Amino acid sequence: MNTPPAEPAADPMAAESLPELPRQQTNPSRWNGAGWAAFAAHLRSRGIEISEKRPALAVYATDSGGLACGMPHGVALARSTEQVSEIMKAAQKYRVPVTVKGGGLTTEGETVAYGGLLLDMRGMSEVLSIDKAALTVRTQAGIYWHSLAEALRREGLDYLSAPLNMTSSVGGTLQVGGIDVNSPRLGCSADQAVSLKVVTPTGEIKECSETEDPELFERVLLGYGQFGIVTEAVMRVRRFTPITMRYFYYSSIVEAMEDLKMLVRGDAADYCGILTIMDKAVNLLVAFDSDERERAFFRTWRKELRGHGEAGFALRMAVHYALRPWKLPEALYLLSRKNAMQPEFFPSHHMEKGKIVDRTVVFSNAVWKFWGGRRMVIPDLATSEEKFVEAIVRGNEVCRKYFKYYTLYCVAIKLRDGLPRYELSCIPPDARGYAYGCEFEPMLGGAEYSRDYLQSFKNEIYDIGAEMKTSYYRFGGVMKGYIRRAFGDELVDRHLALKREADPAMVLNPDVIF
Amino acid sequence: MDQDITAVTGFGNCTGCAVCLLTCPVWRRTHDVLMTNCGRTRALQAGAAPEDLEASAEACLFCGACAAVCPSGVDTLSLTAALRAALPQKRMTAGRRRSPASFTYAGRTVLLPGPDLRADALLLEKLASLLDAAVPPCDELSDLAADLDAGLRADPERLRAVTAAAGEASGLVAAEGFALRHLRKWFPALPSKGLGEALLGRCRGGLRPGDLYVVDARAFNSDRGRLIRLYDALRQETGCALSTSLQRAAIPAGPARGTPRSADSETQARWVLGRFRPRRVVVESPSELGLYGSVAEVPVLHLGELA
Repeated sequence: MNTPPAEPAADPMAAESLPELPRQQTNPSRWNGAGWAAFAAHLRSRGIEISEKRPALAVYATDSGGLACGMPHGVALARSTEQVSEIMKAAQKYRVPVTVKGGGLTTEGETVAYGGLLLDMRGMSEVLSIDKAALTVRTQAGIYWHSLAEALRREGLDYLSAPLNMTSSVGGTLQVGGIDVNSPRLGCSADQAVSLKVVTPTGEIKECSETEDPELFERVLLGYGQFGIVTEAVMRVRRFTPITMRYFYYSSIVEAMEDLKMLVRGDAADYCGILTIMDKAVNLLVAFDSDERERAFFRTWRKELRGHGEAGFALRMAVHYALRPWKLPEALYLLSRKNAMQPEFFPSHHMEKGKIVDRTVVFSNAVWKFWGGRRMVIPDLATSEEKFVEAIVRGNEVCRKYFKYYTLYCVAIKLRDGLPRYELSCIPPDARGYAYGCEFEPMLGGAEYSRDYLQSFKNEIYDIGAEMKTSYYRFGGVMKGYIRRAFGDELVDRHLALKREADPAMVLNPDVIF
Repeated sequence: MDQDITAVTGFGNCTGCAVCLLTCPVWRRTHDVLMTNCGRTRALQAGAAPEDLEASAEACLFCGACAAVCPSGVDTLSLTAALRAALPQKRMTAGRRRSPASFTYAGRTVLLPGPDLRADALLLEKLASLLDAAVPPCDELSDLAADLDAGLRADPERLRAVTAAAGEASGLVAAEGFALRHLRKWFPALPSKGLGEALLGRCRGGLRPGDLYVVDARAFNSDRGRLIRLYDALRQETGCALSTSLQRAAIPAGPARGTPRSADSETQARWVLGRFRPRRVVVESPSELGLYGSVAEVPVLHLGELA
């Protein structure tokens, strides 16, 4: 493709001000708006609808984090692979940035458009076919995991692993990872992809898989949207099973993490993870797809765990706080939080004979109800097994320093060692067999924190990763300054060269990684 | 927009989580977030004016499924009604018909049938008999509720007169579920039920495994926190399947009152039927009786016909 030269980096802001003073845009890589009108007219001439009305744009002003804000010049709803292809061809021609958004469950502005076109993939939300014999589904990639689960359930099927949030979209998840409490057994969501239909940054439509154009397949999976737009995906699925969930409580986060690692190594449970209320009430959850697995767990592993049942833990906490009456407010917070949350994890209308039948709904509702907010700050660390405990202990100290109340959420991810897709991704370079991740989420509530304060908190968490050479799940957008620190110049420059080759005008999801 | 309404509806609390989209029939049809409550709240948060959102507000079916599942407790229906009311052309006064003075609500259970049930005189007579309910000669209460949902303003005098008379009733049964939200506000001390809930006491024995029980979405979503347990118990007791979604919200197939049935209605009805492949369909809402009858290949009957 004959790519026109970059537009001069003029300052689009306040051109009439300070007319005698030569000015230059502070970030010359940021797009200045040139070519938008011609781009929009070109697409409209091909029947592609673009909304430039302010209310339509305002809907996309921020992402789930609520801290990164920007406005596109226009919004298009993805309607077909061919339409997306037309958009990308025009974007290259007119050098217009295209920011792709599905569920938009990013926190660092990765799905916020700072000018250019916002392409909302949710316009492509249909399940195309389900193969019950092969246990695969072909779906459009803008679909929410919940909608996919709803369609699969009609056939007695379920997805393998997906984020604990039903309003994540499939396409976006496949390009960043996707972690579930069954990831210790089934890996991340990206690893359940069988094949993809992709629109490349230059507008070509390609099918790829591990056997067909595997290079593209490996670049797109966990590729943070840099190497193509996934419009359709074929994924492995499984038979639906209700699950039984059990909780073990710890007052030591280190003990809980060590026990989690033991369970993961031993393949002791079908689902496991850690969810905490600060570092005071640490909850190791395990769940099972079958009674046999649950029985085997209690026969073999329960005695190895240092966690307590609910009654035993309550007694220990009562003694702990009775001896520390000045910490009564903390005890009351723990109690109120536990009392509010527990029923939400066992709602009778989502239970059948003591088993959770709609885990996708139960978990996701709880996530939004107890951890959601208009502003969310969720820095994370992704480590090898060896670095897991130290990194999370250090991260926990940072949480304690900045916030009164917070949550840690830790899971393991089974890896298929050596896959190229793991390079420059949330999977740490030194992880073998399993990777571990922890999200550090302060409970912001109604309290007012400045952006500087929140950013400082994130930086301190990420500094741990840079020092320990870990990775991060959310290393794009606002946090992309850490990419070179975490991965080193050589690797990043190699990927940048690949990106330049695939996306000559550098218009697909700019500002996310590079 | 009225600042009081802005505060009451709590739209500022919307996090944009999009959980409401999963149950929104307009989203299912368009996949355009701006046409949904989520889009309206996010646009309002970013400074949009009601007239910017006219098409979106007018597209809402007022089924209340979004309100039923919203983790942030946004009063989505009041918000959409307020948006409609703030549109320049919505200045006329609500309410057109009144029941004659000879009809008295006092001390009686009153069935508010609405136009679809009135059109089926035999069914109306049977249901009124089952409920031992009086039927007013016109639908002044549900008309008023529909007008308010449409964004029309209520004449305070008229509202006072209508509610004063109806407040004498011993109970209200609304065949049109959307009215319940208003009835409970107007008559907080009066038992107000949807037709399905009111009939279940007499008709639940007729339900059996293989039945698909289609709840009146607007009635269900108006009091989901309580009804979700009632209907779950019904499912377990009778073995019937419920038409509720994976989230246990009810998504209507029937259109909003006063709007014609469209292909979208039939698509939604087929989606519900396709999930369960029932041997028989039992519906609560008289307005959905014909709809399911036209798309189902199995018998379709009203709940009242099970008695």
